[in-house]
Amino acid sequence: MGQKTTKRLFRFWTIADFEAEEEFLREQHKQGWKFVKYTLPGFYTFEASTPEDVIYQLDFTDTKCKATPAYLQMFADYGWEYLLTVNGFNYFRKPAVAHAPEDLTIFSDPQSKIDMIQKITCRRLLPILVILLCCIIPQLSIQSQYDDLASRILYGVFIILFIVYIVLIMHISVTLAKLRKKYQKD
Amino acid sequence: MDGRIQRIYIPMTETCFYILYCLQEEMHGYNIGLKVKEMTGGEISISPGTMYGSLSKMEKDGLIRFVREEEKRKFYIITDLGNELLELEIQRIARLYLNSKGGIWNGTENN
Repeated sequence: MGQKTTKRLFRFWTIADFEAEEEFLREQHKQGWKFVKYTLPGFYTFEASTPEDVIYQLDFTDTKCKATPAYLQMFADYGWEYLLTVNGFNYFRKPAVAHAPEDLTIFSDPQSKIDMIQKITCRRLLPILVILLCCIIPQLSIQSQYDDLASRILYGVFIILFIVYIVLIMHISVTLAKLRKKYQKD
Repeated sequence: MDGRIQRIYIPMTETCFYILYCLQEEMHGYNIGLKVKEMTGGEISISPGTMYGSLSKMEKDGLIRFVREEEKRKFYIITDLGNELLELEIQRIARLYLNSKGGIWNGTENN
């Protein structure tokens, strides 16, 4: 009685951190917090429930419309509950009990995991790089030529964006490269 | 046959081999998964993400074709190209097996 039934948490992940996110959702469920909603850039809503070991898995299909009824039906046949799609990632879960380990992953061979990493690189990382090269860097050089207040403020904004982009791109590239290496060894 | 397709698919991954083998009969993804588990005594299981991705790739490359959809499940069947590749792979495995027993390969299974 009087206990909280929902909680909100903030976690920031990049497109390369899906495995850490899967682990995070599993941990929350073990502690009795069932995942219900996720809003970018990182707002999670959980509902109080029985603590249980539930496996969470993310599949990247780029757009929501690619998560077709036939696609979702296949996951349902295999016992995966579809939750939602955010930023091209489809979220699935399945209780760990009474299932063999090979049934607790949505990818049974390393090549399909590598294919997913490849898709994330092409559809997400490359566009970010294009924005950096075609928008932020040119803006930096344009705004630096003027001396009025507005240009100085814009220059500051683009410097911050530039740094954020560089840090993000480095983090994503390194994480994806590590993942690729891990699965190529399998 | 397209040399590129042959380079991609031969030698074949186990996932691809079992999917092609099963699709000599019309089937949908989950059923293929069940049949593969049964015929390999549980040694090989193909998860839904892998199954969906493989079926899409093989359909795009023309190894299998979509037949019909029933209750949101897509049924596929092997094509002539798929059959050719499957036959090549079976011959390759037969050679490996024969050689592993110390035999000499004469280009066919029946020597």
